[in-house]
Amino acid sequence: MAEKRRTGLLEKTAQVFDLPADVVAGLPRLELIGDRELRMENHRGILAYGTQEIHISGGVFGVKVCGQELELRTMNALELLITGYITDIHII
Amino acid sequence: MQSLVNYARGWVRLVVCGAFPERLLNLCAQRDVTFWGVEWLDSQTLRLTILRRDMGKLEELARRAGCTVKVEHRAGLPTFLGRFRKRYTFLLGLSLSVLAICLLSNFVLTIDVTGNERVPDAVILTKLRQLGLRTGVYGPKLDTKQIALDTQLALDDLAWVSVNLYGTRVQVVVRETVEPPQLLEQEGVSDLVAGAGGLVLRVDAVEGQAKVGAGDMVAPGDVLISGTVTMEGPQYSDVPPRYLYVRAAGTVWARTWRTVSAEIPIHATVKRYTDEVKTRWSVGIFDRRINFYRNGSISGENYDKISKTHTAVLPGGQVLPISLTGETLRLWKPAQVQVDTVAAQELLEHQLSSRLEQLVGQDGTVVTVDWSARIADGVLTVTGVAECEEQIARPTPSRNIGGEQNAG
Repeated sequence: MAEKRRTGLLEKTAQVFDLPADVVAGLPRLELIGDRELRMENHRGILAYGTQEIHISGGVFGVKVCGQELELRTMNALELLITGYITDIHII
Repeated sequence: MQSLVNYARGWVRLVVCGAFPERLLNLCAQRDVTFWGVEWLDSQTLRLTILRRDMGKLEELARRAGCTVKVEHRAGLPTFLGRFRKRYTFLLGLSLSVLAICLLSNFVLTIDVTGNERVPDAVILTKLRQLGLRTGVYGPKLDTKQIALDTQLALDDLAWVSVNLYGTRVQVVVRETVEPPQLLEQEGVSDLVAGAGGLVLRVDAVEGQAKVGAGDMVAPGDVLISGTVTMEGPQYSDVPPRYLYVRAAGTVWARTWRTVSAEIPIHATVKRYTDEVKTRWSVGIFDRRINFYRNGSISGENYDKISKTHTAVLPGGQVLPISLTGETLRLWKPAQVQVDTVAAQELLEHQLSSRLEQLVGQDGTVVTVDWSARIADGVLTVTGVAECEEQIARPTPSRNIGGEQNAG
């Protein structure tokens, strides 16, 4: 069983005041469009890259995207876009 | 659309090799180096595409990430244009072309004259030329208002002139003066006399006193309607007759007989072309003509010159001041031939018929024509005797006499 992640102060504040955590605490925001496109905001960079698996740093946690023919279409300091046949997304 | 933008900006395909290539990707993302088309070739090598302008920045980041960068392919508009950087002749030609376009677009190429009906274009264009407006002149130096004013003053038939310069085209808009109406001469006294002799058919005297009636024969010059109206006194009275002087008006229709004749020699000198033909070409640019032949003079006078000019026209119909003229010179020798008498007679009859129609006027009619032809001394003479119905009354010059006078 995965270890429970510690919640930060800003994240708690966002929960208490019912504010968007991605804006207040800078938490990653993932947007999956069908199974072909994944857009991620507030990332901290690529950790590992492959056509079947891409590891992305989200700051307080990591995100593992699994699938086939994965491709990093575009990336900048704030967001990135992954395309391909996405089968799994894991928080690590 | 994005691919078009990328093409305009130019892009570079790179192969990056290093211990941690993903670090380079993260650095690129942080430093706003746009990249796309990432392919992982192996655990230490990846291929990506960046914009051409970010190449220097990426090389610096690659050094920091401990990666080597190898350029695989360059493409896009800047790369395409970069090929011409060292083609100095091409660049010179391009510069001259741009310069020519910028410079030549300031010269007047066409002059359009609109709004004129009585005054011919040639008259207006000649005056404009005298005032300095012609094809090939430098447009920005033209004082169009002054030219319009001077043209208006110089040509009496123009009431208003406007000269507008639109790039290489000059539009000249004119308004012509309105001709004053022809005033009827009402002063003085005049008669109507016979313009031709004949048998009077009908007299309609509007003003004046008719001197002839239907059935009378008149000779040319006879007074038909007199401007002197005799007002007799009462019968058996001593009151002298009074005379009223007016301008005679009216119509007198008569049957007239007119004789017209014309002649033509039955032997004529015609041109017989020889095989000697010369063709010479010239190019006209603005008002200048460039001849592509050395000697302009023609030996002998028996040459017919046939010119054919091809003028450059834009797709919109605008005529350019560039033309190619081909002149064909054909040598001929005079030769005597006999004229076809039947055809010559028909020609003369046709001409005489036209003359008769002119003589009887628009309202008159030619009833019958008897044609006769004879050949004498090498000349064919055709004579037509025509019976016509026409209005023969013609006004005489007016005389200045008082309005009403007694006979004394």
